[in-house]
Amino acid sequence: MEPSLATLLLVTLGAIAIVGLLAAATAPVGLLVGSNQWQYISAFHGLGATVFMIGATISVYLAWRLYVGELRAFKDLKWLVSFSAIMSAVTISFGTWIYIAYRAPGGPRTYFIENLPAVHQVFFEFKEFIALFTLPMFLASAFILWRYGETLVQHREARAAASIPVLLGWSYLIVAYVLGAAITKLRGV
Amino acid sequence: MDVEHRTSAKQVVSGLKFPTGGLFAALFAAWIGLITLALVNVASDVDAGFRTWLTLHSGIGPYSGKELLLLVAWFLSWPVLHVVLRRRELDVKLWFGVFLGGMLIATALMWPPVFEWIADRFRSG
Repeated sequence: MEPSLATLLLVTLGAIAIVGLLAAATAPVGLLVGSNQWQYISAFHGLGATVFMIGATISVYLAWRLYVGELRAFKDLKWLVSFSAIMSAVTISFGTWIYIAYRAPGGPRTYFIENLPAVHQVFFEFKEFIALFTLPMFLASAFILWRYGETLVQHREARAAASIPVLLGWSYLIVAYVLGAAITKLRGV
Repeated sequence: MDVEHRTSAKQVVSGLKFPTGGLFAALFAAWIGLITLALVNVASDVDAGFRTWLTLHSGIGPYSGKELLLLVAWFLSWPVLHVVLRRRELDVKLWFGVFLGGMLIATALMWPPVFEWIADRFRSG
């Protein structure tokens, strides 16, 4: 018997809560994250992107199963794509917020323009825009999955129209995630 | 007329809960938002005044206006397209191909060497 999505969610939240509680009680979290407000916002942006990545990656696998007509867990796909759309919105919101620190005088943008202009002009510019492409892809796909439901399974071309935007959204996410990690490694806020 | 003819046959075969028009309203509204972002980005590279106009928040800079215009174009076009298309059966293969082509263009327009090249042509022309 397959475990239900509710069980999976409960186990995941429980595990996060236990690890979080242990970490908060015993680890010097402040030293790990940093001391100023922007470092906390940056941490939430990165955490949001990572949770989004996990949800989107499972969504892509399920979307592939839908595409080839072998999906059994249709409900899981609907919920995971919706969850990914929400995480996309959350990550973009934190990303827009942290962008204030990126652009601030003496911030990473100033550093890149002075020392590595190509990093700002090509990689960061592309990252900031391509990250926005994830939300329309996941939300459009979520809408299609909820509205048309399991009737999609019988229609080969409609299956493609529902599942390929998930793959596109995931591809945009990978690009934004990798570039974001690389840029942060070169110069954080 | 050609589309109507093809879709009436497809409607019987498809077995979808709703006509395919609603599906394309969602996809094309997403594309309209993204192509708006791409075009606004090129325009802001060409025109400094427009770039200033897009600066809705001094900390975020012109990116604030670009994001807002993406959302406005997306969420205004979606209900309009939905109302227009929801009862229509569109050829999924054809129109999904058009959507994918559109996404390729929107993505290419976001690549800085491409949009800067286009902006340079506008500035010099």
